[in-house]
Amino acid sequence: MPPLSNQYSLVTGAGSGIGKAIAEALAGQGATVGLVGRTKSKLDAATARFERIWPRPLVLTADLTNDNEVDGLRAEVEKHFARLDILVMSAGEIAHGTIESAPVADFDKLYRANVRANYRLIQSFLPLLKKGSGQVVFVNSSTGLSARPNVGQFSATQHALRAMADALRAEVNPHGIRVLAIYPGRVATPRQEKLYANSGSEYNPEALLQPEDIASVVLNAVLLPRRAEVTEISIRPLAKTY
Amino acid sequence: MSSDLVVEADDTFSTKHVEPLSGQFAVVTGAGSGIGKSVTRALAAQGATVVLIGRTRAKLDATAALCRNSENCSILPADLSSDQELDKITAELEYRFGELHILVLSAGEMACGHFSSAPVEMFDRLYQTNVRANFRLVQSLLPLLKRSHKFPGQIVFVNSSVALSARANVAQYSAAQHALKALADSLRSEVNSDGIRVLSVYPGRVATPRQESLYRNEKIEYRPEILLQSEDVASVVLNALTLPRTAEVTDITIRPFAKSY
Repeated sequence: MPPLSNQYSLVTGAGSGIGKAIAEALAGQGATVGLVGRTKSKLDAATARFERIWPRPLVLTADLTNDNEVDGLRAEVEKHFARLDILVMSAGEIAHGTIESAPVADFDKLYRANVRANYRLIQSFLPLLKKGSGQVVFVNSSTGLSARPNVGQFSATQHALRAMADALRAEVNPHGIRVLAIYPGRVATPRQEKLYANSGSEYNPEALLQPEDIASVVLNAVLLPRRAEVTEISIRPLAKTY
Repeated sequence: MSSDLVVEADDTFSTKHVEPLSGQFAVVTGAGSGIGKSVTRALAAQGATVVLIGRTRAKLDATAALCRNSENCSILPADLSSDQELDKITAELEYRFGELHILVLSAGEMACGHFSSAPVEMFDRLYQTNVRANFRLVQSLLPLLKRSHKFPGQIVFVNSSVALSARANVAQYSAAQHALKALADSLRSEVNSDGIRVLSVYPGRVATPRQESLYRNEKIEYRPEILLQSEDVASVVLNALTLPRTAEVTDITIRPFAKSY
């Protein structure tokens, strides 16, 4: 029997990039996967490779910055899942800019998408996570550990997310829930490609991390015996490309 | 009605499959027990040729005997705090393999004590075995690790959670482990352009013979089943070692899920 048979998982940001790769990897190990994203067509395309995989995935569209939609998401998931075993938070936004000039509207947008949305998501799904012995995975960023120039606003949200993961871990460990935070450097995703296009730099995706690399380390940690808890993983491209 | 299952032989199916670490040469220090022993077994299981280094021949023999491809395992008993023995190791590896692909540093010592009373001799000893010996070993083996283009070197520092956050009663040990982290981080920056990757793993308490004696000395009940097992650490190490070469896992923090103290 595949290792994650009878496990229910939810992956946000599952329409592309890291979220999509993790959703596939979970399904490959037998989990029932709910893919969450804003764009139905992207989610449907992401599940195309699930045709041959059982159990069938759930496709759930939601704008996680909208409180009503988060509540609606929870209600929908509760119709299909008796509990939640694995929650993977891979949805978020990024913007570049200096602290001197980047608009505060971007600051607010990033905070809503990367910090507040995940906060509300966790609050909504904790009851379901507590029904079994759940696991929570924060797909953070290397900027969550060490800020760089030009990504001040984004680094701030990722540092905040790190704090949330650490506080949450201490609170939910006694309930049998493990919390992993992964801090990747640059990953070859559609979002990354856009960032490079905007900056006018040459995009060499093969030198970056691949979404499957992130999925591989996350799955390894998720599959470890319950006596162990991987709390943090830092992973980056080997080659320095900037 | 019985149905006979008809199985057709397929002559084109090959039963030979390439193991992930086939053709790679690995050295593991502290291979006689604990995490070093589990990592050795995991490396051998994935097809690596492993040289086991440790102080006690009998323990190394016992580990080698447990390895799946035991014919690909060999032992090299050595005291890593001796510069002479380091030279011997380097010469032996140079002669036998000419290159090195994986180095796992799992040898070290641990001691507890209050800051006010822990003997400075213990401080010196911990620094010697956990910091200086690793520094000298990496220095000695770097040329071998840089030699292969097919399998650029990988170095794993089996560190400890106290490298990131010191606790009461382990000041000397925490200091040594913090120092070891610094070595790994500096090293990583220096060898990155050679394509060499460097991983530090920071485990919390692992169920090992050393852990058992620590609990015994403290007169605390030793419940190994709620601690990390060496295989758990080996699992995350092997996962990182077998990732595509364009990725580098730099740090992994892993701990027992249950709080036992």
